Amino acid sequence: MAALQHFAFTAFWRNKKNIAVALFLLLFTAGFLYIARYQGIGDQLRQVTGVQLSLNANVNRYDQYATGQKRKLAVYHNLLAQKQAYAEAQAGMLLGDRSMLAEGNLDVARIQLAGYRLGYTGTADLNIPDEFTVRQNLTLAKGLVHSNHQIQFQINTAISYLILIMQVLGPWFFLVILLLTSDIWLDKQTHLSVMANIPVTPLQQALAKLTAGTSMSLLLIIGAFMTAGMTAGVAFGFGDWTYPVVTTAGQLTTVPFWLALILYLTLAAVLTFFTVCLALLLNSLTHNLYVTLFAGAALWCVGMLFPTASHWLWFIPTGILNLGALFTGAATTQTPLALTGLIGPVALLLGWSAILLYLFGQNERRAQR
Amino acid sequence: MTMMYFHVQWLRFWHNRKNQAVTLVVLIATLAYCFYSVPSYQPTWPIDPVTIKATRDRRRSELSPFSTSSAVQDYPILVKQATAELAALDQKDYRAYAAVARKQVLYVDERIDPMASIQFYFYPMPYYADDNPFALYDGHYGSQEIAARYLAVSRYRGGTVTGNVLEERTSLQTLQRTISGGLTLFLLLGAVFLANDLVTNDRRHRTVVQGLPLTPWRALTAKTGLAWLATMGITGGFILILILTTVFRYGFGSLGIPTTLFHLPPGRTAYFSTTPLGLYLAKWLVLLALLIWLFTRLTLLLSILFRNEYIPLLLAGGAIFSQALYLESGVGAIKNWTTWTLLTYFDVGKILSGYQKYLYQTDQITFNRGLLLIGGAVLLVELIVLLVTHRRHFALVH
Amino acid sequence: MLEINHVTVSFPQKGHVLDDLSLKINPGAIVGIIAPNGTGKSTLLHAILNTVHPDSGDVVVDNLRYTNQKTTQQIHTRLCAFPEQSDLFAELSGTTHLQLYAKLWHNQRTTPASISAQLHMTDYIDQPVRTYSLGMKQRLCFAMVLASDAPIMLLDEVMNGLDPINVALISAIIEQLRTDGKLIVIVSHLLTNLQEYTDRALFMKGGKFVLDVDMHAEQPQYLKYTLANPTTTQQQFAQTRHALVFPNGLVALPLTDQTDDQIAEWLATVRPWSATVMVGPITLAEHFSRLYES
Repeated sequence: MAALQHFAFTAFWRNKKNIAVALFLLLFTAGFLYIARYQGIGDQLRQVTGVQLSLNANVNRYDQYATGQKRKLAVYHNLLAQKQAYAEAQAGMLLGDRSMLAEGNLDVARIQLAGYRLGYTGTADLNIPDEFTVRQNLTLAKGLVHSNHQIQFQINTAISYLILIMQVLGPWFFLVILLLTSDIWLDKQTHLSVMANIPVTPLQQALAKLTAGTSMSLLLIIGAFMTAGMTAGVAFGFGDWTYPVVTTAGQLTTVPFWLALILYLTLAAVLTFFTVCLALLLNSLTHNLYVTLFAGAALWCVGMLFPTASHWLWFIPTGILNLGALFTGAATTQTPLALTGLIGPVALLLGWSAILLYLFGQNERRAQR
Repeated sequence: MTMMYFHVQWLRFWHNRKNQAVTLVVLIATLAYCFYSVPSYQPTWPIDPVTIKATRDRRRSELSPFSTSSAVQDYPILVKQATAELAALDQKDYRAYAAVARKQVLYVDERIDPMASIQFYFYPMPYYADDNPFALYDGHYGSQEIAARYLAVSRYRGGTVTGNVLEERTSLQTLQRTISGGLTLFLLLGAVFLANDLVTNDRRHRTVVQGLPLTPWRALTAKTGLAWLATMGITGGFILILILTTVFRYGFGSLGIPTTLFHLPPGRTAYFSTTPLGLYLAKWLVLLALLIWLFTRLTLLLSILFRNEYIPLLLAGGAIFSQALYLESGVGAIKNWTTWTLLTYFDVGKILSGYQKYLYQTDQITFNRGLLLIGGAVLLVELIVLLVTHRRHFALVH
Repeated sequence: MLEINHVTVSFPQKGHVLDDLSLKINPGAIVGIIAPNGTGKSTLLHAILNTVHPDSGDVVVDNLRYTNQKTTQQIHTRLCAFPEQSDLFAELSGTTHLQLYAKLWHNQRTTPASISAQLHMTDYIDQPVRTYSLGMKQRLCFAMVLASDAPIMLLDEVMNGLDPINVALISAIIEQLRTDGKLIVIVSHLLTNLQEYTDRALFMKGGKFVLDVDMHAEQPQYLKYTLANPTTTQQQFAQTRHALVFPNGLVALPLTDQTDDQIAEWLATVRPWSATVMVGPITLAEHFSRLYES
């Protein structure tokens, strides 16, 4: 059994495809730091003009086409108030007064949320962030004010970079793991007569594959975070390990960064396990790497391209395959899972993993007969 | 005799599960695009009589002796233009509408100063979406573009001008919008996916193919031609489905319809010229055909060099989208080398509309330079292929 | 004409697999290469095909050498190697396989249809290969070589997995090919079958040809009998008569230059010792036993 396990591990990391994917991911996490800073991703200073323009345009547009009624007047005042509150945040940013910036952000988020309570009547064509984003901003702003943290508005520490990486790579981890494990059960197909003669049960073989696939993929994700952290840490310093990060525990809340990282990697472990189970089943059904890849990606695409559909189909794992959205709770908002925080989606993923494994076992048994 | 080899490769190609899966994915994506995205398209500059009327009536009612001086000066003109627009729409005279709407767009555009702290006029809302910091520049670009197009359309005598033509909804214009939106990149990705295992797959049939009296170069060229044809075929299929799903609803459009091209002559004001849509599409096909050949050949070459089918997928696939490594608004004006980088020219639609010039803020990103660079790259890859395949003991299959 | 000039091929950890090997074969001949598994027969065929590159020496086909891709192609149009059945295209039909080989080798003489008729494959030749049995695939592989109609055919284990009827059928076709002027190099373990039609048999050992049997030359005759546990007397009898003693107990007394009386006397001596006593040449199978059985 130990020999089988060893064989599964060796087969995994000696695979040219997996070496290429791993190199690609590690290079990306290191190189994206440069791109993010160069392109101003996650840089609130660069966004100032944009937000201001957008809020102004909203006010004008609403002013022109939707005045006259009392209800609508309330919305108009709300839009105006957003504009004024943002001016405060902006002043804080320009003056380098971080508490003023934090207060301003808090006000903008509060007023935008109040706008949602008004129903935003007649605002179909305005540019207003969706309610979840507003709540997220509000939670972060509150967390910052309460914990007396200096707000970060640029990528200038390892921590701020890691928080960015959690969001940027979050949607893609599923595909990366799928790419790594998309041929996990195929050696059984290509070397059928050899593998069929090994004196171990298919269950033991699958278990060896599952352990190898899950642990190696997870190791790569951890490696990616370490690469990102070290790159930014060496370049700019590490920053504040207790900086608040928004996640969900039934309702949106903030946790210190170190805890957020642990939670995130735990979610990654569960997602990895699920993905390997999915790859095993698809391999067993299709005997083809690309079909496995495309079928898995199709599931992922539903969550990415049709969020409404994935909210309706909350019990099918599609929206929650986006690790970033899963962590912040965006993936489960407006579904029965929202109240369960991270526990519900984790249970759902594990439940599906069990189902996939069962189906895989059934299919293998049928194939053997 | 190479034809027979090609024939067998062709049969194998379509029996390959990966290629079947790629084709299916493209088909599903095409249908989703044609039945979901195309019908929900909202033009940035819609023909919207309700809003025109509301704005006009509001401006008219606000006009009083106590209005601001700018309002006193501007509103009568804007109201007059809006009335003319409404009258033209009433008579379904879209040429007349285009002529007046153009004046209004330019009139408003002149009154928006990106440097001013307070704005009295605004561009359509999509320009401000996602807190776009370049909203006013993008809006100005859009205004100039729509003005140039409207002027050309109002003078266009090659066919009927409908609302769909103005809103770019006809089949050919939808195709052009899709191309400008980045279709080429996805087709190139398709080419890479179709070509990546063409060489490595032969390993499973080693003894059948290794003794064939065919030079490796010929065999490789047959494979390249095959993947090239398949990708071009998929492109044709996409275009056909797109046309079939739009032609009955919005009309086919015409190859003569003017489409815009941005110019940014150094030291002079930027402007738009127009070219017939047919010319745009023809130029696109030329660059597309070359690029697909380049990517197919490159993928095959990489799969020979690495003796693996996944590494070329990552490398060639990654290259398609690698412009993001250096692309930043206005980068071309500062770093001239970016206008000589091949990666800049993969999104052909944006080269042909001149949007890439706007993005890079340089007039040098042109069709001709694209042709030069892509053609040069094709020649370079051909040279490498020639050297690799003509080594004395080289064999495609090991 | 196929010439192999002082070809040496060595692999890491295996040393010289082919050791300064030379051979010259003219058209219209069948040459059998005989050796146990793993002694370089396939390497020799690979060297002829140029899929293995010799450390030294060269292969010459009709005065052409593997000097560049052009000559490689020119040589390959004169050569066709027997494919392995696991390498066939499972989704394609037998006909497509035959057409591929016929077109690429410019076969003007026979058609895929006539070849499949000759090999009794007409019923299934248009089905995808994945539906074939092992024997059907093996016949298809042979049919592909026929379809090439190449002047030189390299047949590696062509009879594998075939029943006696098909072995006879293919043997007959191979003999016909010789009549047509083909040069055939055949590697086979069916030595009795090979004995029937091969013109020359080459035994390989240690990377060299250790025995070259010209099947058309007059073969020396032997009196052959088998002794499982020979006594000292029996051993002396054999030794004094310069007998060949095989590892499997076979003893062969050379009859060259012996009178009939002498032979009769020997026969009388050995008959009580052994159940079967035969007169005849050493067969390929017996050579094989003598050379390779320890």
